[in-house]
Amino acid sequence: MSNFLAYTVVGLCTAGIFAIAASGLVLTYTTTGVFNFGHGAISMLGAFTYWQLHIEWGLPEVVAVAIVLLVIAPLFGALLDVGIMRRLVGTTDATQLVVTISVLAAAVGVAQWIWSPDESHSLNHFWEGNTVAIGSVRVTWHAVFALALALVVALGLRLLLFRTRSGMTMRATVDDRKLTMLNGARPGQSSMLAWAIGCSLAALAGILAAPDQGLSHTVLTLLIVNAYAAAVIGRLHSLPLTFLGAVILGLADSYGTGYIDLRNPYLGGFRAAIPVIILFIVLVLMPRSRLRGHSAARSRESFPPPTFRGALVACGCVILATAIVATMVTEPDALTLSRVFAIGIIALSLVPLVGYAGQISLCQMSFAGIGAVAMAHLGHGGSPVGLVWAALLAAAVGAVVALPALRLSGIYLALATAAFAVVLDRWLFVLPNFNIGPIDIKLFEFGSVPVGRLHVPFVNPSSEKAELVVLAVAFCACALVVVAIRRSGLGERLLAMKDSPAACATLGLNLTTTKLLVFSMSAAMAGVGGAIYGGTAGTVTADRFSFFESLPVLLLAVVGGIGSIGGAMFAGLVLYGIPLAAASLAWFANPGRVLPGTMGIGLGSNPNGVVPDLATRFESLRRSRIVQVGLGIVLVGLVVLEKLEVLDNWPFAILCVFAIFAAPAIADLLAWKRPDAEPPLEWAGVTRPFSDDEIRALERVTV
Amino acid sequence: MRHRKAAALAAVLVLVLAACGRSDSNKEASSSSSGTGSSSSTSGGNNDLTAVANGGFGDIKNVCSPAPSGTTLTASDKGVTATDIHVGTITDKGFTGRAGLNKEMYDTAVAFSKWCNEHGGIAGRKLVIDDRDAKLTDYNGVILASCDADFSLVGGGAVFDDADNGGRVACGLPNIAGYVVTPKARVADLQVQPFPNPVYKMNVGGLKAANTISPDALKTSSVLTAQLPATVVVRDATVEAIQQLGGTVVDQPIYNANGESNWSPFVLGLKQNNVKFMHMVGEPENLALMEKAMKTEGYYPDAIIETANHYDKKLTEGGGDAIKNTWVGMGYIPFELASTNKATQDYLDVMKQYNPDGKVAELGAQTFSAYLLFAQAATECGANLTRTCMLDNAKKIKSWTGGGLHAETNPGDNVPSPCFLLVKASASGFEYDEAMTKPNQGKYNCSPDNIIDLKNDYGVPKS
Repeated sequence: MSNFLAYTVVGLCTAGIFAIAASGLVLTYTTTGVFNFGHGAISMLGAFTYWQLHIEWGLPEVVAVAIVLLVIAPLFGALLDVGIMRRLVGTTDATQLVVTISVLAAAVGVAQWIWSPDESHSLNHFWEGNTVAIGSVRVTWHAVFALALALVVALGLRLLLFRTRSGMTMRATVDDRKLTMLNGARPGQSSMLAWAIGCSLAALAGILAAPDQGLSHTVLTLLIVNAYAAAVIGRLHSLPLTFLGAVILGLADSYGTGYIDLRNPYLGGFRAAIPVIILFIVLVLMPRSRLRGHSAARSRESFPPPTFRGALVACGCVILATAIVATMVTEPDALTLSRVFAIGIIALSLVPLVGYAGQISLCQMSFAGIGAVAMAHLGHGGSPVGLVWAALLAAAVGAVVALPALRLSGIYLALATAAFAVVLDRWLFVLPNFNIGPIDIKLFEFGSVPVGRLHVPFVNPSSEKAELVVLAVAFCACALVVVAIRRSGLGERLLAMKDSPAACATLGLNLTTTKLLVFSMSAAMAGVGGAIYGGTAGTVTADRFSFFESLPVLLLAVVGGIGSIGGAMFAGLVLYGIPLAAASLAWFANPGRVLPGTMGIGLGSNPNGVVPDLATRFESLRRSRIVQVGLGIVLVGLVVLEKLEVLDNWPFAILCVFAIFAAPAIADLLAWKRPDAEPPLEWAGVTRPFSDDEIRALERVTV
Repeated sequence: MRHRKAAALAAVLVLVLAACGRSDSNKEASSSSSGTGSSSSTSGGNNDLTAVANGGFGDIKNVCSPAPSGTTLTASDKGVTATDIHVGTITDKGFTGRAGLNKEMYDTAVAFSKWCNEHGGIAGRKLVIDDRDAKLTDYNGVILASCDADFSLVGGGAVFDDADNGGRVACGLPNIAGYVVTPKARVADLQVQPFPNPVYKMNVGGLKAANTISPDALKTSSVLTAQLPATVVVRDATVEAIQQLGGTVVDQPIYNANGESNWSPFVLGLKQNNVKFMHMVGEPENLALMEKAMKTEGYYPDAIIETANHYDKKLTEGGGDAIKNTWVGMGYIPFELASTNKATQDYLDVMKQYNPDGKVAELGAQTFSAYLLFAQAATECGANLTRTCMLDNAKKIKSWTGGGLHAETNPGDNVPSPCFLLVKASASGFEYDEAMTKPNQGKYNCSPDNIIDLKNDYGVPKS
């Protein structure tokens, strides 16, 4: 009994910090509608800033805490709001989520840049050395203080939201932004206040947690995952329930250590997975959300449907370009480049799911992991049969995930998939082999498994260059599948579901089967991508397919343009192409680490993504046959020059890029001679069909 | 954003460094292998042939030297030309989740090559270090590159070193390893480790010392680790070792590889089981945090004895005055004793002079030992330098101390050394603990009883 009491006391102390972190999260969500995935990273930045002021520069504790919590963190929050979050109005949940993931990535990159992970950073408790005895256990004053503070914060926020005018405005803004504005409120002001307070609370949680959790870039960022669970128990809006959630998680953490027999190899990873299992259960038990009538109707995002002809041309170009590149790079570089396509396929699997259907998945790499495992055990050294198994098994798992997730949407769905991914990588992926009835389940065999390279007939499997071209073809095949989905009736249903689930249900569309189908298909494609990706890595461990590997893939796919095939290619290029190209540039190491994050942050101003944006610039090129031919001749000429060794690789690449970007400009110049070719907007659609640009322009017209 | 891996990674590193914690040698202690190769001195003036300035190191004379007069150098094997030898040093320093991971190995390689080339190179050929950065996930890629261009891998190591599926052995690339992690890689062919780390033999000198501090401490042991395949294997081996020593492991808690929000529950567990001896197969950061929780709860095991990866200021600085009853077992002379050990001082001097911005750490010293061994084996081949010749010569080395950097080992037979020493950790840093070490050979405690054979199956065949 005394042990039970001891574990209870210790668990409650942990709960205080969870509660503070979670209430910050709830505050920003209830007042701005943005679920901040980067909350933990902000905690981490806050704790490091405090370390810098207090330990490194020697400011007294109180002064340092005050500067961080009252000046730096609120300023940072206000900047986040003005610079990033406010521009997200009218974007989809996926875009908003990705922007906060970008904040996370950028924050960790910047923190590693400033505070080297090689150095030791540590913080002491407040009132270091002072403890109180409660029963047989002793707790620090620091922990008691944190718990008390958590109560004060919860009460304070409650008062702020329900008893003050600004709090009322904050809540009203989320309920109905326009109505609130009509009533004379200024939503900008209240969202800035919310972000300022939210960041300040995040920093407070970081400073309180650092002495016990360690001042580490990753640990602090990740442990806030527990706070997500607490926030979800509070349904992202109830502060008292959030506090209760924090208590439940703190206790579960403590009892898990005390009462689970961790010597059992099957339970070893279970304790670490408890918070996310709780998160998953809570999400599944949550009352079904209302079908939204017009969730994305006001979205600024639009993706024109791809045509088969366009896709075939693009695929031809990609395969041709890959073949040319393959002749120029070394074998090891070809291997690295082949991962561009492997990751590209995984990113491609997000296009129907996130881009078309509007369902967010944060577990795509987990599906990829299933695919890799299937390839390892059933692929017999890389035979395409392994890909079939990878697709089937991943699809089955995808369906299993989708079933409980069917009733969820938006951020809740994202969190459920995240929880699933974390359960896999903390617990299931690290299990030894086991049986379910007569079926032997082999995952990563408690270590690593060798995965065969994809081996197709007539291709020399030991040539990385040949493999690179094979993977380019595989990527294109998957891309055509995605185009086929988009152009089929299913594609229309997916878009309809994204635009208005309620309208779809009214028209008799079965949302359940549609969701299940798209989840399975997406998982299958991710499985194929994972099987190929595993092959490029040789031997894989579960780490490669963890939750935190899914984030950059989703991030970059959205930045690239989640509704477009090019966006998927972009994700692969940024993850493996750019680092390869920049490998020789030592100065690029640190900016390179921050790059993906900063890319995502810019999404607010261009939610369609980079590739569709570029594509519109190439519009004029599409219309000018002469310039197309000219460009073709120039490129062929460059390739010849390179082959004759007149040009080096770098000048060749630069000239190619230059030629490709100059082409639309030249086409514009040629078209410019005939000003009457561009009738005023009012005449578009009458004298000739609408162009994509005009459709977009029309969408912006407000009556 | 691959941060989760950073944690995982760090944990795996444990293993890695645990490797360097185990020193061995068979029987004879004492004389370090003095470079038997090149004998002709190139040094001008000063007659101390072991001085760093004269191309010597520790007790080795002339590590590097010009070609003996009259020899003609040719491109005798892959990666070798008349003037150069390309060697690759693998690290994970480009891993984005933890920038600069083990960069000390590459930094040391660079310093070694500059120093060596200044003294004539490897029998007249200059060393060219190829930076083989596996970035954690690209091990097979760097092996492919290295197979193509390098004569050998020297002094490096990567966390996921089984990821090439035997590609290194298939292409005939030798590895004079800095460290080797996975069991598969530890038993791989074409490999010599200056500091052997075989799967089925373990130096338990440090563990045994627990009983010196508190009689029967091992009877109530607790061995912690995170649920990561690489660390769990080491945990299991340690548990078996404790049992072989007559101890009982009363608890094997598993902590979250991503970090714990509160270590107090783990301390409560120790208290409940009245644990007297604790060992964490993990990272120094986590041990520091756990000891802070011990300080809060007012309960410490009598002995916390760790492997060499905990010889890291992250333990002493992170834990501060909470660090108590904690020792680290090592096979290397700690940097604190550099003034009394020429080789250690020489390593620091070479780094200071030839790569002053480079990182100096225990693992760097291990890399240096690998380069010394490579230099000796390759120099003996003379003009006709081939991979086979170099590897054969390396395998002939049965007694090795890296010029005195570490305890004597038997790289040729891949047998760990029976020597260890213990340093005590505290807020003020690390200090050699003579009373605990009970040295019988210089600073080390050496005895055949320090080595045990592991009987359980650790996933690879017992050679």
